Amino acid sequence: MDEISVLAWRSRIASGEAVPEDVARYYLEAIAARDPEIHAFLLVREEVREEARNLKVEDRDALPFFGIPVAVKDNFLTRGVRTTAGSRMLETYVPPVDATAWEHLAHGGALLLGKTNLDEFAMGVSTETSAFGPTRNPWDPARRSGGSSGGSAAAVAAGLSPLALGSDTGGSVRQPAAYTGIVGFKPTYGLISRYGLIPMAASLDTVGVFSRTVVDAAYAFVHIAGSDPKDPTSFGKLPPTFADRLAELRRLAYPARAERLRALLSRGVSGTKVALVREFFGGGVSPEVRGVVEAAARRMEELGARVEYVSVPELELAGAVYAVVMSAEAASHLGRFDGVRFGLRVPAENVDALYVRTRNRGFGWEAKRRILFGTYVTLSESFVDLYERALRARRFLASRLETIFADYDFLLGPTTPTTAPTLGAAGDQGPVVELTQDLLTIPANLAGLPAVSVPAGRGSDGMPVGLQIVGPRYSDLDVLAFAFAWEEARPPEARPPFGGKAAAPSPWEGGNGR
Amino acid sequence: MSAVREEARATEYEAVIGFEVHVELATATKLFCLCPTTFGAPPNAHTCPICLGHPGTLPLLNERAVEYALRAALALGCEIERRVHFDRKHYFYPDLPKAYQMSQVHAPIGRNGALTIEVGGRTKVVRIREMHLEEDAGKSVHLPGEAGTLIDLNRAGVPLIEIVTEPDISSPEEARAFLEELRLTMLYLGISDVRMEEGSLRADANVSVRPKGSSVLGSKVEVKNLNSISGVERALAYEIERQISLLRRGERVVSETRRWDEGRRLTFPMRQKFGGEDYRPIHDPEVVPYVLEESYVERVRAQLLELPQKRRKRLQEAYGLSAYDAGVLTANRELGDLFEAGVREGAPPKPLANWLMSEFLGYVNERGLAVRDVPITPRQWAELLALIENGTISTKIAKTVFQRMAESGRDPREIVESEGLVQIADPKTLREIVDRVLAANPKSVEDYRKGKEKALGFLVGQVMRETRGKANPKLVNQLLREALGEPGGA
Amino acid sequence: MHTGHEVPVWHLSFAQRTLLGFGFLAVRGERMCYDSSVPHTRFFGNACDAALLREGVAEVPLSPETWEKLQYLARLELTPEEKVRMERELGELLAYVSSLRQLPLDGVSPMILPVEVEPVLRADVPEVFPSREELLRNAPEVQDGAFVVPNVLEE
Repeated sequence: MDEISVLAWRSRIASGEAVPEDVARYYLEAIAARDPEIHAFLLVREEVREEARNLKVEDRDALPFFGIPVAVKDNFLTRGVRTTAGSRMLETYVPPVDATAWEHLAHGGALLLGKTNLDEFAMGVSTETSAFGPTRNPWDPARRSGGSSGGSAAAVAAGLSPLALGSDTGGSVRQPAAYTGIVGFKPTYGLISRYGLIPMAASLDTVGVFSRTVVDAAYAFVHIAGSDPKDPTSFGKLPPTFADRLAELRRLAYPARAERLRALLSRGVSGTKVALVREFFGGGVSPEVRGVVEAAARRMEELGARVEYVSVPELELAGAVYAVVMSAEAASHLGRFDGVRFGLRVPAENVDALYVRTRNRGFGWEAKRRILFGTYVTLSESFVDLYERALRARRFLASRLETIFADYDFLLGPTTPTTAPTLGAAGDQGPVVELTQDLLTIPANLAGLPAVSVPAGRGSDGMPVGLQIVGPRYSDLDVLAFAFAWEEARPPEARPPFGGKAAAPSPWEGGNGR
Repeated sequence: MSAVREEARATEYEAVIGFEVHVELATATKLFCLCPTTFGAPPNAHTCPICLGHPGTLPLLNERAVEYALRAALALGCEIERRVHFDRKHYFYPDLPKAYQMSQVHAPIGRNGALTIEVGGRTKVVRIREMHLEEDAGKSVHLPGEAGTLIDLNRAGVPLIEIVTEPDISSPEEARAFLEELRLTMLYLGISDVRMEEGSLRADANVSVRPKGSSVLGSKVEVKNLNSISGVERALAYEIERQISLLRRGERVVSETRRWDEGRRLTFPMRQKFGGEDYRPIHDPEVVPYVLEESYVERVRAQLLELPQKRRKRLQEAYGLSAYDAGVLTANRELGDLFEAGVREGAPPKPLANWLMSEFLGYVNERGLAVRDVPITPRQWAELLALIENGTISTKIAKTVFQRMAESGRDPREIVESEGLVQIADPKTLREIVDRVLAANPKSVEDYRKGKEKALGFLVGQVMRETRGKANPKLVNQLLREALGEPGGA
Repeated sequence: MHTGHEVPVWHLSFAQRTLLGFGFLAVRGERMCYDSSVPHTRFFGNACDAALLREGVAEVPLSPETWEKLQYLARLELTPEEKVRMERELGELLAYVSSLRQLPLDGVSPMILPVEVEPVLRADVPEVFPSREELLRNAPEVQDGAFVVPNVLEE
């Protein structure tokens, strides 16, 4: 067994070459071997072996994810399975319902391999704010896997799961994907139900997918996308062609669906107009990252894309707008953790003391800071001048991006300003510098746009560099198609090593096939 | 309160009163989840992950709650805000599961409305500053001693409308009139059963006093824990008096929140919370903001039933009823409906009104029934009144017939015939009975001729007894007088 | 066409916007409606890296009253050491976002959701949550189905 993409496994299961129980065991063993060092998982479910055994063979053809183990970020509610959100506040919380995104996969035959580590309540850029310890980068254990979905990214990157769910509020899927050399996809806002996803900021959050290949990401996306009556924001006004395309794909069963997807993604890039955003190559971006991405842009030009530099100065606002809107919504959401109905309770003699002691103990530093900052920007004296202004600046920025998409099909640039920083690099740098890790990914969340990070090469330090492709709303399949074209066309040195070995993939192993 | 004091009060100071009223909407489910709203379930039996504030849940807006709120806003003559959009009012309290209350701070569904009331023959307009939709909190029960507090969240998430008035009310009497009219309006809209004692109508009053004629407002005191309309009147009277006394003594009125104690008949200050609450009402991003279509608003407006004030007026004009009668028939919508239906079937308005307000209302009240529980149709009412009018039965007998009708639902004519209740109005037959009675009661005849009017009454009674009440009393009276001659005569 | 003054893009006609697009290409890197002297823009500028960024961001101090109010409203209480660090960090963030106050945003309405969503309302039909046991299982303390909390101080 040396192929670790979802569709590769699915094909072997379909042909009978692989049995779900063996697939489950394979991953459990990989986790046992490597996760003690990486700490991608907060909870591993040994039960998957039995669940795999109990899958009915007659369901095999009908279920697109039959026997596929999936790792799920621990801010997705999983009924009956502890869900911590990486916080002491929910250390023993067992949800009464399932998140819809996970439920779709489960109904499709997928198995819950485990819950992955994350920054506490998804607040962070490195998975270092997790109450349960950080997640290390499988490429270099002294470095971070990124955040907030660091655990999910590391799990897929280290071959501990073929697929993982994450959430992306300001880059929390794309950034870790870039740091760990895998595919991280964030769809258009509202396409995937957020019911059961513990929110960080309700107007920014999307469910995202980590995978080894672009087709895998697309395959998972199509399966879990769709309006959900339990999530009122999932009834976006899709353009009819897009809605039809999704419906068509969902009507197909396994091999046909994968084939059709591959065909759709293979349209190539000839004739596409790509904007290389100047601001994405600014002074804060390291030269090696810039080099890798510019080389990728040239390669795409060779394939027929028209690539031009475009300046979007308004992007300077993105960090400030994000900080205000995200904090206001996050602070609002976290009020419910008060020790009364669920979660941590620290005993106290009266209710106010109960609140303070419980929240002091249950929340980590980052959460406390976002709560305080979010509270500040919404105080009556700041409400109009900071909070509402940020909302208006958000529309300003989003409409500016829309204008660009009138002339260009995609925006292109690096996913992150540098390769994965070392653990503890945050140190004394302060929140603004930390925020810069996400500055390149934040604009897509502010405007609700689909975006993907694909491995584009390696920096001089041998660490992965991610290429980010952003499209207009509802261009998800187009964005994935562009990413697919890159994936097919990239030079060998840009390909992350594949191989089913549970050992750390060596960056210097010659590129092998997929 | 002594007359002197009252007079002094009346000349020196005036009261300025405004209300914040909460009306619990009679929807089957809560505002943002599918939990039932029925009363009396065991603690937390009507809760779910959404209304318990479990992380990862999302609010599902109840269509009917929006419609009910719209009805109320239209009925109160408000400018309608067609954008439906919620904000989060943040504060901490154990009965508030999400640590924020969903409300409409920035875009209340109705603004600048009014409710006209009638007090002491005068009309007054109470302006409605705004009204909006919001969700209710749960209930807390404090255990004795320091044992703690029990939190029941069955009520958390129930839809409410909050109605805020301008401080246009000037007296406890006006306050009563306002609350009663508001209550009746909500009943007519069919959106709530507005029972203060049960908490489906709640009112907090803002009270201040100032020298009469002054345009400067005094310190405002908020009065809470008002559990009945009479309680409101009493509490306001007390509070106004309390504030005036303070001012007369040269002291300041402290702007604070006070609680009405019905048992001790006084208000006392509630514990002050920290300096200033700041609700930080962010725009909720989970309930999708949308705009009500003009056509929808107009449709709801067209479907509104005639409201109490209009109905009272119309009943007076169309049927010549007195203000009082119109008021009684309007105060109970079903009664008013029955009245109008009866008139349409041919019943004469004034007599029917009298019957409904006295006999019928007495009957249902005594038995704790609703109007619709009594099986008398409008047509049957018309028939009953026709029988009275054409002399077939006397008013007295009619009361008996009514009882039978109420019990059985049978037609009045059928009852009259089967029980032989037709009034005896034939002079010849009555004359015979009169003569018999006169012969049997010589002393009364004697008394009457000596001048005692009362004796006539006795003799009439005797004739009625003989005829088992079926004799036409007027005719009996007349015949007796003829037979006896004038009192005092020979 | 490219004047460098602050013109909100959506006030321009489609034709003007297209020309503006070309204007960008013709005059690479020139800023249009933004003040590049504001510190954080240097991230995207050509001058420096994160360290300089940190240096450039001043701190906005918080008054003791504001600090107390924030902690109360958030129901948090920091130790004196924590307070020092938190004040510095909050001050940094406030400086970072202060540029929002100067933006020309006339006529721009707040964006609450980033995409247009069809409003779907729910019928008023009740459904009892099927598993009360699972629902209440996470409660720290329950008595006869009600949540128990220690004394509420007021009333």
